[in-house]
Amino acid sequence: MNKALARSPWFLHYDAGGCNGCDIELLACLTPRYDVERFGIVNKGNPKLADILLVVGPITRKSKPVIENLYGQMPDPKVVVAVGSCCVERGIFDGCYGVECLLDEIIPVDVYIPGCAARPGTIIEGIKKAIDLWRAKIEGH
Amino acid sequence: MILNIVLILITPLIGLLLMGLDRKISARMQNRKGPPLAQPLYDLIKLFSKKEEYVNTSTIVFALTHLIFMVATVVLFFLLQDLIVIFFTLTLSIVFLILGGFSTRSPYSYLGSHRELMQLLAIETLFLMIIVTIGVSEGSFSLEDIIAGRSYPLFFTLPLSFAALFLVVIVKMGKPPFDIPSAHSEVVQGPYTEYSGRWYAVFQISKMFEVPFFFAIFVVFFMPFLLVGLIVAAFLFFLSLLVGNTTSRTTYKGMLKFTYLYGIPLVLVNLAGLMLL
Repeated sequence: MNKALARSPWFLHYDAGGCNGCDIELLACLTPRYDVERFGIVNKGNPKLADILLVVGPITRKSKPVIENLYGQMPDPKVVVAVGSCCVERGIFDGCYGVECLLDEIIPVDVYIPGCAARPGTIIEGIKKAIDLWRAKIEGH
Repeated sequence: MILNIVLILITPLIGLLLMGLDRKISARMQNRKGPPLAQPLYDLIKLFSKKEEYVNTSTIVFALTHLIFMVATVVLFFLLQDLIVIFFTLTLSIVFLILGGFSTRSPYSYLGSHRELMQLLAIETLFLMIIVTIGVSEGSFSLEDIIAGRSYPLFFTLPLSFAALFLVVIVKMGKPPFDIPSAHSEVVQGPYTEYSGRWYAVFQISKMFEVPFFFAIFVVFFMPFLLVGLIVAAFLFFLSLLVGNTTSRTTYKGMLKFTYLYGIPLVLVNLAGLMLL
């Protein structure tokens, strides 16, 4: 039973205002070369069914309430992953007028994935860490 | 009688296997490795381990009624009851799915339910006409009469109705050319949008009953030769996956045209043939 628990992580992918570089690398993980569906990972695009929230890009003024809304709609247990340099520490967008704050200032972030753009291999490793945290959360639930 | 009850009990297991095969074969067709065969089971376990959340109680009542009528359809089918009653419970189950979608205020759920209603319009007419051709050919709607003491398969008298039934099943499978009600990139999850955790699992469980039920009807068409029927059903399952992986989504008008323009003439020609011969 415990082995079967965390084998179906469904993720929700949200672009908070980046350059789409990380988005493309993230979606490359779903394609035949990397194929994360091997581990049961599916892009559901629905916060009500998502277990992992993947946020890409710097948090702009417009996207801050959206992220709070999406995070609130996801049922527990859930994990949040910040993908790419912009999401982790503003990156190239540091000092821009529209950039409001860092992701971990509005919601708790579990895993940080660096890189500009984050490479698919790094993203898969980050998601694996997120799944381990998520399994711990399910067992403690 | 014992065989019938065993068949009812193993239907959800066959459903799980078919859903697992569906994902595995689809992945292989896309040159991917794909998830393990037991993935739908892992999904169910995961969904039940999530925290229970729902929008309002009426959505849950509709979801459970949907499941109850879907199970009733399968039970009536394997107890060899009247085909018209089986058709009626199946339709009622879809109606409760639609009502569940309408009972939330989410625009995606609302749009998805409208599309589900269109799908109902597209296939239920055709499905009922197929059942009528079976009734005309055999003189009875009772599955027991249809199956008992046959010397030749029903397929020989109703080949075109059989083809029309395949059209119904590819629409019903919710695969790409006709994944209109739950179109991922358009209406999120359609009527299922507002369900999460175990209440979404209710729909997965109802799918476990629905998919084997439709392929079991194919077997009825070959009835004295059970093995031939099973092989044909397996082939048609593969064919429906092939259609799903090689086509792109149409509009609801395309779906209506598909079933009304190709399906209904097929059944009518078959009916005319039965009347004349």
